[in-house]
Amino acid sequence: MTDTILRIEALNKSFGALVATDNVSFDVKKGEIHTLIGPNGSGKSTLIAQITGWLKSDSGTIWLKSKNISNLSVAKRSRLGLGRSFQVSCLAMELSARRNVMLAIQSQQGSSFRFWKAISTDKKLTDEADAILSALDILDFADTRTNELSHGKRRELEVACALALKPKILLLDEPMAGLDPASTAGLTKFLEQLKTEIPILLIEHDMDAVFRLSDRISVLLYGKIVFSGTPDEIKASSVVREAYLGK
Amino acid sequence: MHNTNPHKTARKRETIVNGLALLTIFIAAIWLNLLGESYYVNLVSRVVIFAIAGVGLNLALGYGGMVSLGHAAFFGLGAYVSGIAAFHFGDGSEFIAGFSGTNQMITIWVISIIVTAFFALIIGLISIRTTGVYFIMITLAFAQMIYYFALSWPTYGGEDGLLMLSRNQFPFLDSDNDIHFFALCFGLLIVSLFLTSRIMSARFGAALDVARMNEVRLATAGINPYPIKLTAFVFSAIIVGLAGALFADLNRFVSPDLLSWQMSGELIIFILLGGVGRLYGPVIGAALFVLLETFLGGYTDHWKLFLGLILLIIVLFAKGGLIQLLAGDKRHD
Repeated sequence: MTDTILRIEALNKSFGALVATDNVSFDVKKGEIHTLIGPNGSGKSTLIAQITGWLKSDSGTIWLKSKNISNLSVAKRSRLGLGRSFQVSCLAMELSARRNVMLAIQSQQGSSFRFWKAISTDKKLTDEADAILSALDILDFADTRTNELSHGKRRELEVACALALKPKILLLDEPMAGLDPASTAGLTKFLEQLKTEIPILLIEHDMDAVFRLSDRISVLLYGKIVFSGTPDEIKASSVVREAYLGK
Repeated sequence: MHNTNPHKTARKRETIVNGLALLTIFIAAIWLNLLGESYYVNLVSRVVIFAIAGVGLNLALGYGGMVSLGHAAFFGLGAYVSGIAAFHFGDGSEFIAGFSGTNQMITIWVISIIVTAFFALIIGLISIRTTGVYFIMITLAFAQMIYYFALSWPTYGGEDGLLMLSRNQFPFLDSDNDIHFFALCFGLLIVSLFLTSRIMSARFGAALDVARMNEVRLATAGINPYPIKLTAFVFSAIIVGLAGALFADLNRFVSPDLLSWQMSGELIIFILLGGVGRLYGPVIGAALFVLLETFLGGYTDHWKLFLGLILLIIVLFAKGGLIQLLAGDKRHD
């Protein structure tokens, strides 16, 4: 059990009569990429919102390692090591790429209630930000304003911001969406290396990437996990074929 | 051909514009004092005090994105602290908790800071949970409550206001001497500008910037936006309150008008004229406002019609305010 980084237990969420999350349980273990797939409207976004803290669950428990994070704020969960990227880029668009990463580093280093020392000359922030940007191969864009970055670079910047939190787990919501093939290949390679250090809960529609990257895949349908297994088991499963792959 | 960094030149240009703004105000006061025009020296002090208030509000409105229509509450509270302390000092009666009144500005400022911080904390705790039009209405509602309270408190003049016999005192200065008083206000303006610039360039400022731009990003980065915004709101109120305390001394008079929503509106106008979220925006905005008020107001009582037109032009065609026209776009690095 010590290898389990994130564990979801019997999570539920309803909006009126609509059951968006129906008794969902799963976990993400050390060193693995666990991918959630499911058609539009299957409840992936709701589930993500519950895990990250934007939505309060009706019942169920979310464990980050041995800590129950079910009732913590979004910011607290992030600080404890739940790093995430968004389906639609969610960055401080008027700031440079470096400043976006520095923000996450500053929260990871401690209190933001520091009123005196300028951040622009704070080596503890700038050096670390540049190291992360260079790991993702986007250091050249460090001084570029985020709204001037291409879509692909923004996706990578989001991953950089998540990594800056020194997360225990990464939750990546369609990181490949809208990327050109070269960037997709690059990011796939990067995630393959990364998962040995940080396990990843992946949500992705690019099935090539999903089958290549995932150690385990869970299929979400009408808020329920209907099947869970290795990529090969998923490919072989008739349930999944009917429900999702549509064959 | 030229090997200049555009970032550097833009920064230089803004520094020059800022420096010129302060220098103009300073020289104007000295020069008018030499001419013996004490009325106009006080007018420059009025600019400076409004500028301090604008710098304070800018911290919440410009940097924090909290459009408060209730900052007159803090301006008025600061002014009333000053007026009431002087009132009790004048007749030797008890002020609060067994303390007698005082005419020492430093003591008054400390009380003003405590009072405005307390009210800002309560108002902020409730209002910052909301955004947009709800935030505007809640801050307005609180300010109106304090306004009507002052209006109906006969001890301190009610709607007639409270007259002060003389300005409160500051060590080594003769505050009833208008140029001395100007120097005091000017010093406080520089302190408030300096502190704001430090705060905004530090980690807190970085968090506040993102609280305005994208709260989801801030929370995802692990920083809870609520306490950041609340702190900025309280700081903002403290600065505005100190400006109010000075304003009471400038006019030797305090009235509920200082707590009215029109006052809140004027503070916002300083920022809009000068430039939202720009350090020196409110300084330039307050100067323009007082110039218009004095000289256009000298011609016609309807000068606010022209103020409205100018405001309209700026909002439509020069969104960054005068400072953007003079110093270029806002930068973040």
